[in-house]
Amino acid sequence: MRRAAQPSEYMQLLANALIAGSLAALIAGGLALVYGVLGVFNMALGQLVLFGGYSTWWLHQVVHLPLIPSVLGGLASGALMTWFTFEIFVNPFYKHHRFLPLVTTIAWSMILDGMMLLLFEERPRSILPGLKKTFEIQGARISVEQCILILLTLVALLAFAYVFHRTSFGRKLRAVVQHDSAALSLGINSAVLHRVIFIVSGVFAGAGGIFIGIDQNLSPTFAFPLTIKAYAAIIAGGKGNIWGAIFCAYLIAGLEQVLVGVHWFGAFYVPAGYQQTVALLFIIFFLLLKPSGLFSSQSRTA
Amino acid sequence: MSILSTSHLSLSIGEHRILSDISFSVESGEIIGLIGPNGSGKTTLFNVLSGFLKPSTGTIHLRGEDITHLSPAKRAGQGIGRVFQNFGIFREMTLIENVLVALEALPKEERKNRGDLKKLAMETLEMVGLEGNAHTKAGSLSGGQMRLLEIARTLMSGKELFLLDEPTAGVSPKLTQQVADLILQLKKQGKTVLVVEHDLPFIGSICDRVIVMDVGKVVLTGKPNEVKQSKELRELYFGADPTT
Amino acid sequence: MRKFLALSSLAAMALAACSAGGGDTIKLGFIGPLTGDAASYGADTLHGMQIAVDEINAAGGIGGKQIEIIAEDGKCTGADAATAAQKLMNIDKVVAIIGGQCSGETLAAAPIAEMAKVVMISPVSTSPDVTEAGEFIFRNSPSDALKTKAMAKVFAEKNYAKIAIISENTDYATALRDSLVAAVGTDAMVFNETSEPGTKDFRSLMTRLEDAEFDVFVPNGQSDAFIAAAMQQYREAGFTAPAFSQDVADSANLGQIAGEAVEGMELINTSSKLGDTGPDSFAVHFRAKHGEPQSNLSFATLSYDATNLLAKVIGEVGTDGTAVRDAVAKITYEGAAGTFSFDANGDVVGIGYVLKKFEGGKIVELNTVTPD
Repeated sequence: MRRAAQPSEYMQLLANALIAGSLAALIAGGLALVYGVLGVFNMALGQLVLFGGYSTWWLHQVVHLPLIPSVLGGLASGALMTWFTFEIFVNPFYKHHRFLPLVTTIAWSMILDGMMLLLFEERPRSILPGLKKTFEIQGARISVEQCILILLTLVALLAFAYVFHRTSFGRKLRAVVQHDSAALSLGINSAVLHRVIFIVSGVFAGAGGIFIGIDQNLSPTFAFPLTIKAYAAIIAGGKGNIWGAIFCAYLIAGLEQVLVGVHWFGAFYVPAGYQQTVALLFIIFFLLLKPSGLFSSQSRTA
Repeated sequence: MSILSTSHLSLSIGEHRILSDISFSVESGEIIGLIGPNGSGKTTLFNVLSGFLKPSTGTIHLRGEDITHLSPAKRAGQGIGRVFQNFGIFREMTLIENVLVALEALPKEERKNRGDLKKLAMETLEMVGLEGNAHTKAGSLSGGQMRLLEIARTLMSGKELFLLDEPTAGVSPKLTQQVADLILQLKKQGKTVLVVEHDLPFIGSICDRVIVMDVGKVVLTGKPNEVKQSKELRELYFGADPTT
Repeated sequence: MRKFLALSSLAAMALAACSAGGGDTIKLGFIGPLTGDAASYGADTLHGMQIAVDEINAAGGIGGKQIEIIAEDGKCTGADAATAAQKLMNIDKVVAIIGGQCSGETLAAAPIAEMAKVVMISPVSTSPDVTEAGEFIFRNSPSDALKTKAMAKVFAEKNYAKIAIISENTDYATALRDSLVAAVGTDAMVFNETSEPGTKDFRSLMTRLEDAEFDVFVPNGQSDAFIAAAMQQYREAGFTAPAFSQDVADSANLGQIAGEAVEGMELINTSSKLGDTGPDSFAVHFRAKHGEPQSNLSFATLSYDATNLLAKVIGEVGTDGTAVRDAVAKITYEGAAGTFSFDANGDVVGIGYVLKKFEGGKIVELNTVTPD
């Protein structure tokens, strides 16, 4: 028996899209920054996401630290691992050719996959196991943790927006993104900024991993699909345009929820198996119709 | 005393010799024109002087100090300012941000001496008559306005030696005059300018000396008038004269 | 340079691991997931096999020859299992194989084993397709065709007339779904969706599920990560209808990560107390050596039994593949899991099902279920 969709169902879809979109935006935002500034593809991104999540799980569930120190520890270890990634697998190569790190970070992603299996074992892990307490807003069911995650993501993005658009440091970052050599010739030390930006992307990725570990669960083979979705968002958003990428991350996540969740024309549902193809179709669609992306800027054309 | 001197600079990429044996020196306060056909190595020379390319052999001295191995950012700190052929401005940033970021990139001590950086940035825009556009994106400016912005920004960030790469390319005649005035103003303030240009009357009107380059070599140096009448220049631009 | 050194030392380690062993031994192969989401099955079955081999070798081996295990990682995928099978038959020339574990592994390795006339016994694969996999392919875990019949019987007893199922898109889970549909009838499936492997976000499906009227929800995953996320989001969406799952849910880890979300969920599987029969049982030996099983003691027990059965047969008829096949087909074996034999298709006879339930975060066994 099917009945017509209720307004509450659309609210639920919106809530679902916000949850999935917040996660995607965290990961894609950092990636877009790295691509915009360094012109480098970091294929080990998904593994760095998992590493941040697993570190938090380990601190909270094995060492039994309280949740907040565990989260901070997870972010810190994500940052350290990203720094290491930069120094060993990106920094020595990207000046020669910006596609070299594509190869080195794929190799690194495979090593990290193996390392995480050894360190954290193959079974799924959850930072906060069990059932979360849910409540209803406008007919949409959502848990306290999810509300906090959505809000924290927003706060993180707003804080980043402030730094990026209103501070001296942010102006230097944008200068490096938009015209690397002009920035250099003004005396802006872009090598240091590159490193900082890469590490910031790792902190955002780690935050995404913690998000997954709290809201769902972590498993070691989860990394590659995460990387692919983040790339879909930055390609669709206009390569190097960080706000375009963040917008598209929310958009793709929203589309995934709507595609499968809506009773189309009151007649049929799209099978759930097609949900994950949305991101890939998005890439193909944009490459065909608008290779420069939804919000392309002239600052970097790949 | 000479502010900049190069000795026996050369650059090879693979088997191609891009620059060979370039030696010259520039006195403080001079305006030097760098001319020559396309592909003669003028922009490459600028890239070597500002540190984006490392020379294969030879040295560069700034105020007597060897800067051959310094990074572009370090050379900027020592007073070399570059204005790019393809516009070195940040298009997605506002005009005032474009100037502000240059001021904020100065070494700490120097920044302190400048007082209120925002006020100074606005004064810079006033100097070139762009204060009305202070909060619009730089990408919306015309080519000439972009040049003015870039030169003014370089000036206000306290650079001593200016490398201007085709400052009149894509600039309207009216603004070309304004660019020329701005360069002469640099000279008045005691700055040194190297300018790459195809516009020979422009070069003639502002330069103290002219260096002519061809296939990566310096073929002639002299005062604008002498160079203009030289046989070498005519041959370069119009081919060999069959009557001589 | 640093990186080069690090990489080459890794490579050296891998090479050393490959070339260990040799000499005059009887080689038994193992194919199972040693890495990836399903690696816990691989760990338990390899441990069970190892215990059997250690015991046999300590008692003098088979006719004086020691048994050597060559373990290959099938990664729960057909492609990797086929590569592993090629290597075991062509390079190592094993006498017989314990494996694969995932049904996808067994189905991909089966044609290669058939060609080489090498007996394979799987202690875990339950896909109905394995029944037809070939003359050299046996299993001592019962087929899902039987499991879903047992599930259908339980559903009828509990008046679960309308079923909502979300399946993970893998050989195992979709085959189980299909045979469940065959057992309960298409009309009983009021909600039937398949998600890509590794999915963790089921919220849009849960929103849709609100439109369906159902008596029981079946999270049909290939890994406990899938089932945990599905059950958490099912309960968080406010559903109160009971949940019922299959052997993948028979995982202690599921109770740890999903907690209250799986409380009260029932499932059908072979007993996890197979081999846990007393103070000197296999279970005691297993725990002494490897602690608690990562996934399920029964997997280890069935792997232990399959290895002992092979050793017994090889001791009687030698190492010829066809002779081993004929002897395995005829044997009635009294193992740690109970007394069992194989039917004409190589499917096990004598290992039954148990109805289990999550109570207080633990899995308890309620009663045995014999499919009609």
